[in-house]
Amino acid sequence: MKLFYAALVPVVLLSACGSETPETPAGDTGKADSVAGTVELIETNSSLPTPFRVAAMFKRSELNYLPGITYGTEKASMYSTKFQLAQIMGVYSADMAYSVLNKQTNEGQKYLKTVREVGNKINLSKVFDQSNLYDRFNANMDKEDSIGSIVADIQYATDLQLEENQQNELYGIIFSGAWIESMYIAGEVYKKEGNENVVQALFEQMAVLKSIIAELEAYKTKDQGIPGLIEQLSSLQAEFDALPSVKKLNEQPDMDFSDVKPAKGEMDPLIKKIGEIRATIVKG
Amino acid sequence: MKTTKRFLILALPVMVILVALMGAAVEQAVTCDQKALKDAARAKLDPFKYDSGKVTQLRYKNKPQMKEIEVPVFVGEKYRMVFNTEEVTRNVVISVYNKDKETKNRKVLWTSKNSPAGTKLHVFEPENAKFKFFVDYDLPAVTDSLPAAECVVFMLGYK
Repeated sequence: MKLFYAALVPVVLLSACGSETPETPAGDTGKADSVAGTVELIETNSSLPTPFRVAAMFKRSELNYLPGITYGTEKASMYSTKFQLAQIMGVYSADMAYSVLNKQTNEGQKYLKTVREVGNKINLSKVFDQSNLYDRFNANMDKEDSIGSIVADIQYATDLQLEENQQNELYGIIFSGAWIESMYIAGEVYKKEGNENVVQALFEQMAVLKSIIAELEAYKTKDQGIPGLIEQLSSLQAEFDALPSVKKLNEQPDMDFSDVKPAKGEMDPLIKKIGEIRATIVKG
Repeated sequence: MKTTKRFLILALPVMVILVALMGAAVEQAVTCDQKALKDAARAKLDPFKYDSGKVTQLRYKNKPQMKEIEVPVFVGEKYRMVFNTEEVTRNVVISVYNKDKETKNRKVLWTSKNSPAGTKLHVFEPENAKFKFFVDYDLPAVTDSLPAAECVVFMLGYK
């Protein structure tokens, strides 16, 4: 009889596992699923733009080029883990975009070469090999519209490659590095030039942060560096949410970011915080 | 005889577990050619440039469900959205909203309900992009034995 009960235990446990699970909220991040073609798919409920687009939006706010504020390419060899490399690839992508959009062709070429080298270390070498993307980018660096098309091709190739490699967690890490670097550059330029359009652009860019955090949350068990990054970005989000302008915005759901102008100096603590996060990223 | 009985009692739950695990594995195996779906969607983006793409698994249950994707965009930009439903066999309704599902009085900006019957590649160009769009997939209740999961591709392009 004892044997019978012992045998029943796993059956009962299994039944419990198989019983209807609590309903996942709509839009919630899902579990890992396998997809034909050996592609693992973890679902996220957000979609992130390209790093180049973030830089382009800052350019529209009349963000000037200031030499010396981007991150030196000679430091690329300091990074070794997949997490560090993905983050620094994002940083260099943003620096490349900032240089290219400001017609700094030599700088842009140096950053492109570095992005490619760092990408090779995280198994993204195929991205630039396809359709001569590297050569096309190099050849068209002074033509903004052509560069936009080539960047779109690079982004598409990157997305496909990350999926093929089952490295989808890297996109949020790369993008967060690029986003922080673009925000850092804008903050530094603002501190030196005081262009209030840049502050407004910084304010509006904060709308993307929740999506970045959501993307990282979905993959937080895939890399041990992700939880720490989420913590830093969540702290930035909390600081942003506490701003008087943002509180006002949140109280009126019909309003959007563009309906609110941050008061002079209101964004300064955030700019400082972004600088701190950037310092952590480049420290590796 | 007693040994055989004992073996059967012990083996039975093990077999049940194995069968159940195999069933779970079958349930998770979603056949979906992401590259082909994305390539077809990307072709429809032209002349817009690729911004981002997302494959969403639609896992049907015996009750209706909704999945929502948040799409950050930039003010004043022109965008095109493409949805590839080539591998979707169920009556999944896609809608684009200006606000998320928690917001009262949100506006539906586009819905696949208005697409011609049989449309597999849906195209929508939103006007007056603000900061975010919200894409909702409304999944019907499913009680038949057809595949319990399918894929839909969303792609965003900009000009």
